[in-house]
Amino acid sequence: MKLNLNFTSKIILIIVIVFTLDFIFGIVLEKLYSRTKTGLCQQENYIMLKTKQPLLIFGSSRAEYHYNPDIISNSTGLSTYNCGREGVWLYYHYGVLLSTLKRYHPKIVILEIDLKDIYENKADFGKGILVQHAPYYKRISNEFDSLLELNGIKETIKMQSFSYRYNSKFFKIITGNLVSKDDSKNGFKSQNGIWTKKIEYLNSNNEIVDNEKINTINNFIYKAKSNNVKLFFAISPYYKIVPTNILNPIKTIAERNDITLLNHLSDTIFMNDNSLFYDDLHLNKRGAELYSMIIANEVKKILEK
Amino acid sequence: MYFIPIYIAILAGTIVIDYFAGIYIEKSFGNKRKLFLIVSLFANILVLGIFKYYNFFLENIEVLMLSFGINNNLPYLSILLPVGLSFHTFQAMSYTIEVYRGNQKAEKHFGIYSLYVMFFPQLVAGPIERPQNILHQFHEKMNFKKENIEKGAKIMLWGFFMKVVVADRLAQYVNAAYGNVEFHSGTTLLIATLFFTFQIYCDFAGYSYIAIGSAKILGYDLMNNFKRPYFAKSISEFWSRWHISLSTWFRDYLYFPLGGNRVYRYRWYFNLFIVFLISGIWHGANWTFVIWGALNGLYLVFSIVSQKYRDKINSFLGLSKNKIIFEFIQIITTLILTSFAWIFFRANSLSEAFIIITKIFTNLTSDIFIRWEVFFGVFIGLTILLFKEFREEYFIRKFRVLNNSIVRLFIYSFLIVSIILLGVFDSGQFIYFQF
Repeated sequence: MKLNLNFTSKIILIIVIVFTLDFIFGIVLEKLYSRTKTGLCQQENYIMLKTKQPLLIFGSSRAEYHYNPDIISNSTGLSTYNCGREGVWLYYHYGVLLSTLKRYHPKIVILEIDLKDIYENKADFGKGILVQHAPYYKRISNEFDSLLELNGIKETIKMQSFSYRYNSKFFKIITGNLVSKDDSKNGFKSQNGIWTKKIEYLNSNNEIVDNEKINTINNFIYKAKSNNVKLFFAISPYYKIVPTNILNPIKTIAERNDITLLNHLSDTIFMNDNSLFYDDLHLNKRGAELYSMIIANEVKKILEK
Repeated sequence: MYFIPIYIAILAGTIVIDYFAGIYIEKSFGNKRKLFLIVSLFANILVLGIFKYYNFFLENIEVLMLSFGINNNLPYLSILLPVGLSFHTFQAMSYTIEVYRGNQKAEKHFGIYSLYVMFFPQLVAGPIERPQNILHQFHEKMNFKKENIEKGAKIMLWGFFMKVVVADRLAQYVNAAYGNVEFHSGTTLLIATLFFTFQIYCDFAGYSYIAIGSAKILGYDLMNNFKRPYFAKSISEFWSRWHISLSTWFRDYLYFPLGGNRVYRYRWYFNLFIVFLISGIWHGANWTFVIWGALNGLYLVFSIVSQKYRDKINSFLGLSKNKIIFEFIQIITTLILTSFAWIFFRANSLSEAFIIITKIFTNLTSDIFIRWEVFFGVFIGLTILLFKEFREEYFIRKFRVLNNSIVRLFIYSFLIVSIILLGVFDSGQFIYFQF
């Protein structure tokens, strides 16, 4: 069969086919994404739509590998989930908070603060990460969508496509449906290994405070407080010698908003023992257990006051 | 990338010089013609030399002086390389040379000559056009034609697919491996090298298709820059399929004037080698590019020198009797040689290139840097790419169902959706923008 289509018919047909394919792919991927049994997509899906624990931990890989929910639960008596995720920072977790508050109000949120959450950085530790929330665009709330739109008009236009929301998660969605092993315990992952290198100074010359990140921290605080969520800031240990004034911006925010800052960045218990570290920024399994016990006791004491 | 308005003056300056040089070359006779040509070429090479090679030259002088114990503060320039400088200076030079040779009339219209140098689709990364092909098109009145829009959009779509789906996905692995060569095994670096072989092709050919397609939409025909280069059965064939506009530029304006192959044997070898050496330097002011060019020159010279011995070995082994197997071996051999040369092109420094090569030959372990999502994206992208190229190379009259207009509409729609779904949208520029 040979059809002679004119130019206009071709344009119309191609638009119809593209929109249809985009819609079909989007719907299929949404279903598959929500059914993932393991891996990153399952983790994202749980954090965004299924948590119900009264104590949540937010942060990057330094949260994911440092806070053992079982230890914290045993000590505080509060069921705990670690929402920490490798490679994501403040903006991502503000999105998680918005999504969580739409469903329920956790009693406590511990936000692990990293220096990348305060200072400008050449690498992309900023709003770019919000693209990870694209599968939830138009699914949570207008406030959540506005957060995603911080990435600019181009990103907002792209997110109108159903399939773009799953861009680059395609493979993870497929493996997440095929493989069914869960290697995390309530979101916590441990690392085995010992950091053997000498302690070094943190290269922190000319650090500039990122005002947009500070605004997001303030929004985070406002959102938590207005929903009766007790917020803790926590800073887990570095195996690095850091300048004493490097945390001044976050200390000021914590004081101003009456938020407890659990600062262990230069905790000598850890800095004097490299066997507690996996690398210079991450604790290993033993280090995480010790750190989790310390944090759990501190939180418990504050709650008992 | 930065926008520095003063840099427009550099482009404007060479345009003015070349414009008047063209007119005066045409008007003049004898040595005067040659003088105007030299002025034009000198101006272009001077600009290229200052912006691209001056600091590189000083760096090497400094190293040389230090080796003799002389410590000196040399006058380095704090300048950025204007985007596409190598491309538009070569295009400008081809104009004055062709006017000098009498193959092209001097362009009297300043605006049209400026457009020849600055035509936006190919300003920054080619194809490097010849005046005979493009200048006359700028004199024609162009109307938007539906056929041109359709053809151009199809070409652009394929270019976007090559760039965003294939090249930028491959880049995720290549950048991770080549960015930390000390930490990766030989196996990982081998995979990264093979990936870069296809990344550079899809990145550059992708750009060329986008340029050719966007020009076509406006009604202009640019020359084809790539012809399925990895199906080449020899290095010389590879260079007749890869970056065709540059290869033919060097052939017409350097190789032939040096005497080409119409000279005694060793001079011919020298001509081939020097052309590729300069081609390497053209790509960038770094020893990695020099070695890359020299290596390609050596490949060509060796292929000529060894031709009769290889023929004897092939006939002894009976390889040439089975055409399919023989051609397959030729294609794979060419691909391996080309990939090996790409190591120098991609490596951040010569020392890193040698680390990569050493590891590939001595450290092929099972310790592989795995990124399944990248492998998966690469698999889909390369499968589609290779299917299209195989068909065009060997089965152009087969799979006729693909010529059906409805089927084709579905294919184009599928390509658009695959770009949306699998494309990498946060990557950097095209690789060839740096040249």
